[in-house]
Amino acid sequence: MANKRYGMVIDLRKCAGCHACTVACKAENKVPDGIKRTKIIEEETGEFPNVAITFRKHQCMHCQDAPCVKVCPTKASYHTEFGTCEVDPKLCIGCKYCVHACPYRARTINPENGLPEKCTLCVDKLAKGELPACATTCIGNAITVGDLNDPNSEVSRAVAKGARPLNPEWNTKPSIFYIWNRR
Amino acid sequence: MAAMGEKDLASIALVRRLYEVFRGPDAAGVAELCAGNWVSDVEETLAVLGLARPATWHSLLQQLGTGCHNREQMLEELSVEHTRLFVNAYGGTPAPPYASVYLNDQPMLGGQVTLQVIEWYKRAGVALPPDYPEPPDYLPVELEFVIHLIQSIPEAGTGQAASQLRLVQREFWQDHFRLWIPQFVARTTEESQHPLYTASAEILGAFVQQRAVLV
Amino acid sequence: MELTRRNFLKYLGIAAAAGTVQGKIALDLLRPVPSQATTESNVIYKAGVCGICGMNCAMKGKVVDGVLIKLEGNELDQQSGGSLCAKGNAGINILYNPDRLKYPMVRTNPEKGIGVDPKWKRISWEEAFDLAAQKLSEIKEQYGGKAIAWFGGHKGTDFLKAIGSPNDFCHHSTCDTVREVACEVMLGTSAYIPDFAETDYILSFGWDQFGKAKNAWARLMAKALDRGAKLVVFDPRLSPTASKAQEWYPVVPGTDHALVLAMLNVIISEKLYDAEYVAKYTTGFDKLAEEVRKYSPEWAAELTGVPAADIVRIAREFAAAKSAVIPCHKREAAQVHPNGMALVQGMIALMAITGNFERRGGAMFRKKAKLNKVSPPEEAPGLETTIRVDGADRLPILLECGHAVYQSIADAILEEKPYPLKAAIIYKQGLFSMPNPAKFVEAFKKLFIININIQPDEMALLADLVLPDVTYMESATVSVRKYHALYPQIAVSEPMVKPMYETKSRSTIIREIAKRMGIDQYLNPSGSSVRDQQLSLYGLTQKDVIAQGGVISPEGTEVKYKDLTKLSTPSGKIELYATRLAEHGYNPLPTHRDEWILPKPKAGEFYLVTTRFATHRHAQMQNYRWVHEIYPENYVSINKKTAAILGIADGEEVIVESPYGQIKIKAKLTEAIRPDTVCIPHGYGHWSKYLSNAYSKGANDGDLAPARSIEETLEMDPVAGSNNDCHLLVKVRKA
Repeated sequence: MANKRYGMVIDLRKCAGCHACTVACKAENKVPDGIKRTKIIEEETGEFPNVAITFRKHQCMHCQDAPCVKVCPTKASYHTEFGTCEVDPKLCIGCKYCVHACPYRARTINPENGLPEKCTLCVDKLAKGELPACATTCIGNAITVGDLNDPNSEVSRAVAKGARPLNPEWNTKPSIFYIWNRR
Repeated sequence: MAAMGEKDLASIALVRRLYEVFRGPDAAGVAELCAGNWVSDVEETLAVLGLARPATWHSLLQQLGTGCHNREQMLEELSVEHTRLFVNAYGGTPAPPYASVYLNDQPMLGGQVTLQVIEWYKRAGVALPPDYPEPPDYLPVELEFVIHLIQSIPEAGTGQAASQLRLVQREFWQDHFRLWIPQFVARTTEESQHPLYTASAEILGAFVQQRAVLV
Repeated sequence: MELTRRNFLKYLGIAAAAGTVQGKIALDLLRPVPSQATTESNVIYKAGVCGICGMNCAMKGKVVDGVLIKLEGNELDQQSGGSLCAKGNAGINILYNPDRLKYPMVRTNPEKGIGVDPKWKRISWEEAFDLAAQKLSEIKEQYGGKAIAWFGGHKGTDFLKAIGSPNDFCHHSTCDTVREVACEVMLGTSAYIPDFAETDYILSFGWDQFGKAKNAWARLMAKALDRGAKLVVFDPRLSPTASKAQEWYPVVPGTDHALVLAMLNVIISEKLYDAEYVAKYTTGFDKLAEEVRKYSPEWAAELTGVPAADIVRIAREFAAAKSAVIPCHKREAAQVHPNGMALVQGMIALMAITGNFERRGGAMFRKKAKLNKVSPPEEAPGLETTIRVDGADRLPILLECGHAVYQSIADAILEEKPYPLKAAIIYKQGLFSMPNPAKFVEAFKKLFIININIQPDEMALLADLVLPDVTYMESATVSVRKYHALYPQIAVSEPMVKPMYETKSRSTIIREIAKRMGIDQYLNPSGSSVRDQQLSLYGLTQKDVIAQGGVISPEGTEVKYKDLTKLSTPSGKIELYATRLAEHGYNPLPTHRDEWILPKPKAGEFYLVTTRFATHRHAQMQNYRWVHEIYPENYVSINKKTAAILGIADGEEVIVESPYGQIKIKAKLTEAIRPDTVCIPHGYGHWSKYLSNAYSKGANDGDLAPARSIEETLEMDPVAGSNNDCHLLVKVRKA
């Protein structure tokens, strides 16, 4: 069986920018005060009255060719059996190389313990056959999660239909894909 | 069965006297203060434990000397100050008496810290009654837990039960109690406008500092 | 000294002899249980109903060893659909917020006001109940029961009846009374449900419940867009809803009604309406046709800034769509400008003549589930007077809808007209729900206030007696939710955790006070057995419903259509000409009034619109940590080009001034708003120093709003009593 590559397709046409994902993640993952593992970025383009706003969920892109994994001197950053990027707190020495290496700026240092904080795609839930907290709570049903290595999965079908990662030109092979807003 | 020593008993008496203060004032408590029982018990236990009287002790005695002429007013003053320090205060409650507020990653009650405390209680063979309204990490509850550990460890003798209790005591003190009490004490002493709370917090701080090394 | 002679042994109640201790030191709180070497966490899911907004989503709470860890939507519920919004997810923040009110308290500082510390003192519940009963009894004795008011959610109606007071106050005249009254008189019900899931065409007049994350509506609108439904939004700013629309028209604020009147004109003059449906299910079509004849698309274009050709095209598209809907909730274009009544009447008429009521994808009637009725053991003696302090007795339809004239209460208290008010019980109603709160603060100084509250907010600060309420996570309820009831559904909640500290439910608190006043026999019974009795209509208990997943659909999950000839209107049909309005001497048709159009803003002047963040419900969640982190403060949105003219930079503080007050607030520059309009998200500017996260963050747009007197209200909106908060121009300048 091929390796798993769990990822996400986020349909920005359905995203209300409501932050339900942000808050559900805080509750699920006990994310420390002042830190967000996923957030909504509001992007405004154009000039009045031809103006558009896109709400975009931003988080760890779970890159397959991940700069954070490459620069980690202790192999604390690694890919799990689900293909997600993960940090082993036992191996991490808090050198922050990964924080600087991530082109998506998806990692933050937890001031309490000096370790990087980021989205895990709720890998412990994936292991139990459950969905990540953000996907469960999304009120626009904008978040689809599945195995990108399975061509029949809903996420693979969405990618085949044109979902694109953020900044594909960085060639990090992100596992988070977006369907962009129409306006 | 090993018996508790004098220091154990003194510790229990001291902690119980502090428990009465932090739980909040009532008429019976004021009566104990004005009869001198609270003061003499604390002074005696401090002496047994080799702890100094706090800096504010003298002003507490003075305050009691004058304040006890009007016990109703004293109760009123203590109630307002207790509410301000520990319940709800204008400008932010200085010292909420809940461990989780100090130790959780998020500034809330509940969460991991509360769950941990519940687990220690379970392992030490105690629990709060189902209808008890305060959270398990409320200071008076934790003070009782300190008493329970002091009392139950010698009782348990030398077997596995005793070593489990000693382990719980070590974890509770090292990973929890000694970490938040100094913060609570600092906030209380800084903000308190009544020597009963200042002195009690100072004594609690000194007691925890001394005992944390022993357990 | 020997151990035996230690005095503290006496205190401990034990004796020591020959070095050994006799007896055991009793513990007050902790009880012995069998100790466990290894402990396993006890994880359970509890059935809940979210208490943050009126949608009341059914949910599940993950509880570990009695600690609530996480809230999730209940997938059996048609409203939550298994999801929760940011607000719902953050519910735990209030349960476990250290700032929460924990015990009954009295103020020891008699001075009241903004920035004044009440110097609270914790008291026992016995003392609190005695004090409340004694004060209220004294006032009732001296001034009559009518001198006592209840603020908040009609949760004290039985108590007021018991003391004979008509002064039952709620906030709706600053919220949604225009929609309620218009729906009542035309449809015989207070609201309709947009059936987004199946719709083909959506028109929004400032409606932005998508951006406010109203759970079912946001979810189903996303589904509609995914299905390819057309969305056209008229809104002075590019709201989140507008950001998803195929067409967005930044309409002149306060003129939306002209668009619906012109669209009615087009659809009727071009005979695009559903004649069969109109004949069968509506009355008054000819009178409507006659009225709208004068509202040409060109006329509307002049007022609204929307091109006439677009108005005509959209009207045609709307009429041609297989199904179409115009959602209406609250505080949109409808409620905040005096032509709002015409707007909602026009919206209903548009949907009615195109045959969109009770049609899949159109506007559905709420199918609210029934419960067995509960009533007090004894009937209350009756009201002392029907004359109300707020003057709502002068707005008969509003009063029949059960609502008050919220804004007029401040003046009435201050002027003691029509008679003096002396005390108020205020429940779940924050000061920031009141327009022009400074005026209300002055009024509240004159009252003895009992505040039943969860947070130490501004209202608690003004109270004489503060009584701590339980949260919805600590209480049980049987809830028939109506917001999105396409079919009847009942949700049951159980306490996820036991009530913390010494908090008590409102019903317990009121019962205890009433008992001491000797009037508890007039209160609605409450408690677990009453909830079971309510459910016994279905042969079920709360336990049964929880066993079935917390939600039941007693008539199945199929949508059944209502007979549109058997409505609760006088004719039984949809009344395009509202006879109930005519009966009371009001205008029964949607009609434009020129005098209610705001003058065009001059340089430095702006129209004001307000909104709310999706993460916050009004002014009540600014102290919730997780959502505070997302939007710690609010701002005023100003068009970039206008800001450049005024020399205002992004993030700079500005003064916004209205005829009623002024605020200092940060500017957010954007292209997504009309150059002559500013927008402020509501709920900020808290001045209660007890709120550690929210204190002093942002500013309250309510400070700019009028609190209109009853006379002013009657002149502007004699039917629905709306405060028309945004019927004003503001000035903006650098701070």
